[in-house]
Amino acid sequence: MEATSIDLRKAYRQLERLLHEIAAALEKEDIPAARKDLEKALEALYSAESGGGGPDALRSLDHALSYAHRVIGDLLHEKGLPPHSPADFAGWYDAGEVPFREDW
Amino acid sequence: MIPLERYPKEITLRDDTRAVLRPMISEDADGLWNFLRQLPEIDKSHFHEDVDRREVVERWAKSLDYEAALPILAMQGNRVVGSATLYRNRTGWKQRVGIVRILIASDFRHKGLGTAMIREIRHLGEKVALNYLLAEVIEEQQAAVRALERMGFEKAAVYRNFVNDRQGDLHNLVVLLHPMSGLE
Repeated sequence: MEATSIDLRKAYRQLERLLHEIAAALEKEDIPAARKDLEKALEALYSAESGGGGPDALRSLDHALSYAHRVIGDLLHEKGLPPHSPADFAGWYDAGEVPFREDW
Repeated sequence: MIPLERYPKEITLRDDTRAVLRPMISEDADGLWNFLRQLPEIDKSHFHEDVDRREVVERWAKSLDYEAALPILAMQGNRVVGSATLYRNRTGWKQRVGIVRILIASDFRHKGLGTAMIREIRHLGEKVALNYLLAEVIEEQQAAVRALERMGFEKAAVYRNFVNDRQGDLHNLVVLLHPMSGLE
């Protein structure tokens, strides 16, 4: 199934909100690597916006989401909480295999 | 001086079991010995010394020098279930490069402990202003390679038939690098 420009726009807005929430949570933490990953996530997000849609925009959104997952993992680790497990949310994914599985 | 005030640090693994991370101390010789004994042979290949000899482990425990090698242990009660060591050179052209070695007990794999240990070493590397972390992994240890890549390490090289295990069989060595946040 192809993503329409409306789908991409919606995903962009959702990711933008998520990254802003993450940035707020990160403010209080001393995790330099996570700050760098957040910068990369925002960079990928803005490149999706300027890309004008299509597969490149989708790829950029995917990169932004991957970096966001890493930052969420860092925040959970700092607080001593269990790692985020995307498999727990498998029902939400319209994909054969759930991404971001941590094997080790 | 490497900052250690964050320890002991309690973490929760994917199956809700808990572990405590803390630097190794000289009293950990027995725990480390028991931990190393249960590791698969392939995981012991990188050691420069024969870790099947108890006196080797005891000597390590007595001669800890955190500025050169900082071993962070994952403990469950009194049992060592994982270790992550950050090796550094105090001088010379690689003084901003930290070498990472991570070992996880067989029954603690696939719970996110390896990833947690990578996060911990990365945090310490940031605090001592390293430019890069370097990890060397035998290519068969794919779970470790994937976990390192997910945490921002990039494959820098694969050396074919480069290292031998303790039986003398050759293996490909994967070298991974992680650029630290202060580098750019």
